[in-house]
Amino acid sequence: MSLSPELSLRKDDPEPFLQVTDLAVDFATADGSVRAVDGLNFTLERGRTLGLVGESGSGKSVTSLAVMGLLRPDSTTAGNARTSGEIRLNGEELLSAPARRIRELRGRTMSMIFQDPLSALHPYYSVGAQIAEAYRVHHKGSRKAAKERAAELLGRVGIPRPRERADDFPHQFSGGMRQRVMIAMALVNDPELLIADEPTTALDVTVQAQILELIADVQQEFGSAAILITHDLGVVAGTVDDVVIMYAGRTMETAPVDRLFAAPQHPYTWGLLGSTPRLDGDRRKRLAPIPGSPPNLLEPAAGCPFAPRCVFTDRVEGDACATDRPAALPACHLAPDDRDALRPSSRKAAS
Amino acid sequence: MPESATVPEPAKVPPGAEEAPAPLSPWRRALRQLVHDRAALVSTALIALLVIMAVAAPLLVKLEGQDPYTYHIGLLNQANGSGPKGILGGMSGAHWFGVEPLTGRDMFALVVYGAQTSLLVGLASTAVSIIIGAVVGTAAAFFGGWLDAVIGRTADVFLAFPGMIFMIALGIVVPQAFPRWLLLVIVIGFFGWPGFARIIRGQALSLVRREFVDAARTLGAGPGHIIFRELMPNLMAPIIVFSAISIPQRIGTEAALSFLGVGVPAPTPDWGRTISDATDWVQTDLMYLLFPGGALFLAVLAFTVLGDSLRDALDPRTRR
Amino acid sequence: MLRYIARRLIGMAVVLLITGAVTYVIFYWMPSDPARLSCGKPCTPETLHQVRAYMGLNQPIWEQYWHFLEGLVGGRSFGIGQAAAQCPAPCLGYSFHQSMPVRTMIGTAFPVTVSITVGAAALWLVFGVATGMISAVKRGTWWDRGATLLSLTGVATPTYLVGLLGILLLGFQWRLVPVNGYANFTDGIGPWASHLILPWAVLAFVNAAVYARLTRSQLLEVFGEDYITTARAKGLPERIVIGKHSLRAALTPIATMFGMDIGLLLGGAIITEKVFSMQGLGYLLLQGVGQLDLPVVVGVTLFSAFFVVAANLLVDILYGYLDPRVSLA
Repeated sequence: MSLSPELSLRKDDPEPFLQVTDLAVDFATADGSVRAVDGLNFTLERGRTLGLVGESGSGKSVTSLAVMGLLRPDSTTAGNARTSGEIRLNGEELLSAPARRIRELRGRTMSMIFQDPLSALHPYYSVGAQIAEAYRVHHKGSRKAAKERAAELLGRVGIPRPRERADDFPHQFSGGMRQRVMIAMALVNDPELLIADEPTTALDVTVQAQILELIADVQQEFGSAAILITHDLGVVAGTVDDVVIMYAGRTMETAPVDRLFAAPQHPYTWGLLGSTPRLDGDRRKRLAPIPGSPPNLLEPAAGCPFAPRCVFTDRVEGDACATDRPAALPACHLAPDDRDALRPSSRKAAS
Repeated sequence: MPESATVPEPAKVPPGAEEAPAPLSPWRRALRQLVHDRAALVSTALIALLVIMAVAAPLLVKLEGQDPYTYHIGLLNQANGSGPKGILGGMSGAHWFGVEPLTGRDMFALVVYGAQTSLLVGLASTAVSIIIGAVVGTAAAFFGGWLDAVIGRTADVFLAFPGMIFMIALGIVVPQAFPRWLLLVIVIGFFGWPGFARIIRGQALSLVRREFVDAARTLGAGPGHIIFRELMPNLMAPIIVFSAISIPQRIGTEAALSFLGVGVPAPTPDWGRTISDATDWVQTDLMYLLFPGGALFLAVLAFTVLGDSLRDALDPRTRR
Repeated sequence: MLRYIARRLIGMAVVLLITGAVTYVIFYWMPSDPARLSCGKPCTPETLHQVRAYMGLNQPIWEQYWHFLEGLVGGRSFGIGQAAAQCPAPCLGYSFHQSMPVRTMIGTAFPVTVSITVGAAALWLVFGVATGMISAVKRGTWWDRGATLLSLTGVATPTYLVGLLGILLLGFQWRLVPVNGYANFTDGIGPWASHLILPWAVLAFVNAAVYARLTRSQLLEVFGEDYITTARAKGLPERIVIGKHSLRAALTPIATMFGMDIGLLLGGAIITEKVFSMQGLGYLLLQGVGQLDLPVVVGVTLFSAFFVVAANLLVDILYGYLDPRVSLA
């Protein structure tokens, strides 16, 4: 599977920081096997941010769990996933690494910010204790030093009176403050890779921008690589360097963020853009939701998974959209010229 | 409810639900899961067998050619204090499960008829609890306010009450003329309502807040109409699950009370009492203990397993 | 916090008062007349009247209950002069059958019940929770199936059946333990424990089954929680993810049930006491029922109710400590 030129490697490149190759994840369910991620490829360098964008069920969250090793049978009590492909971090293959090694990396080299901080923080332990615990797993040192470190991080992410608030429980914080706690916990060991899974979805609109800014800030400060997972192209616009658009577990297109907004290649991306509210957009323009609903992963399509919802399938000769899986990225059977002609301009996008 | 007769039937399905491709209804889904659940099938078969045994007890016993009341002193061995002659409690072609020590009554008849008592008290007392709990629980959820508070506190008192001890104590004051099985049904049923009321109140509360109840209310439906026509159908699943979980406990309670000598009196066949009688014979006639004990064990086990399966199938929280 | 406890204590007193009143009404208004039972034969109307007056049954029911409550606080006596039966405070009634205050009888019986309860509770908590944990962690394996089967057996077997089989095998067949009776703790820990091993084991087996099932289902629910994924994402080893984060979250309902069960058993381990012929509170109650000794029945019922209600309060307070989201106000 080839990568788009911007994200691909030349042979003489040094090993990228994070390289995901042909990642596939299957879940066994009562109704049959479900392929949640199907042939995903991307690379990520230090100091850069990658946006994984798609609707719910597109496999973006599963991807983050796979990178963190949270789908491995040795570290789950809930799922039954089968993962294949390669995930290389600093050149080290993670899928086949021993459990011990993954535990060493987790929380220290790579850490994760979850979508809903209320359910992702343990309700029975104080936030200070939870952050200190994350520090003590990977650092020798006294309980007191860990507590000190927790308070320091809480202050860094903008929680007032961090020393006192460290003793409070998650339910005693507001949604935005809880997400700051979550970020502090993810940062406590200076991770090289930070994965944020829909970090603002559960938050008020007014707080969303602050949290995104905070993540961008700390990422700069710590010089880490980041993966931002979202369903909202609006969130991606100001925060990431590169974007991977996912649909039904597959990559639709990948591009640097500027290029994606200037010349989106895939009809699905057009649909996403058309359904995203824009601050600079025409206010009279109505948002156009993509018709139809995401496909049933139990019965994967033979061709392009987006074809049933795509309005341009008749522009492709024969029924390639229904029968053939697009071989290259962007994963679309439309001819490049057709794409340029059909692409709605961002100004007069929807009708 | 005269006023509800003039009210147009409120839509039972939220708008838009009809257009969507009909997904498997929760009941169909649950049924499908149960059919594929081997434990559920085996336990259902066992329960069916028990019910048949209880209902057809006279027939079964006639088939054997015995009855649960006739003494067979001739089959007892005077030498060992009137234990049954022969091995395994006197099992024979005439007495399939042997005979009872001291009286020589037919064990098969006692065990088969014992199922009547167990199932009757287990099921009927559950019905009593459901009726009280459903009425009280939905009333608490629907009317709220002080009524809810009073009901809640009363339920607390009941849950925090040594019910078993009270039931034992009650046995002494209720006149002997009052049928004991009915007393057990009433008392076990009465002490069992708070569990049902709590569950039903919680479910009803979430339903009361949903729009379609509002819709019915706006259309002028009375509280009785809403409770019985709108809420009850939605409460079926939790009631079934909780019943299935509590029936085995009630069967156990009935047997325990009879074991303690405050349940069903002789000569009515009863597993608990027979087990109690067998206490003095464990060394000489183990079968006397094992037949009623095994029957009770299987009955409670079957209902417990079925309860587990039903909960897995019907309670969305446990569906994985 | 103190205000909460004070309010709950008042509530507890109210519940006990109501329980007492209900018990009184039911037991002294029912057709069986305790005076006639104590009257002896032949029972002339005069004697019956005298016995009534002696037992305090000639007063209206609410007055009788009031005297009972008075006795609870200040003690009371039955009859007058030399022959009067003394029942010092707190008087839980006087057994005319045994010619002694009910409290004295409870005083002898209670240690037996406590001994049974405490030992069994410790055993079933440890084994039940451990079994449930193994089951949940190794879900779907033979470990899980075995544990599930064992706990189903425990749930479905009545205590007395397990007890009788235990007596038969361990007592009669293998002669490992005494089959019944009780030795006081003061007689030495050896005899005390050896008499209790069988009841402990039986009660623990039956209850551990319930706790194993609860622990398993709670843990499985907790395993699906986001904060468990978070714990793993921090790099915590499984031992801590399960033993600390998961168990801590699953503990609250287990602790609640444990408190209630202990309260219930302290009020009389009726069946266990009956099977093993141990003279605890349950035995006292059954004996009272058998002899139609109403004061004993009422006294034991109230005493048991006290433990259940107290356990309820303790559990609620414990809940406040276990779950920081619950505020006791």
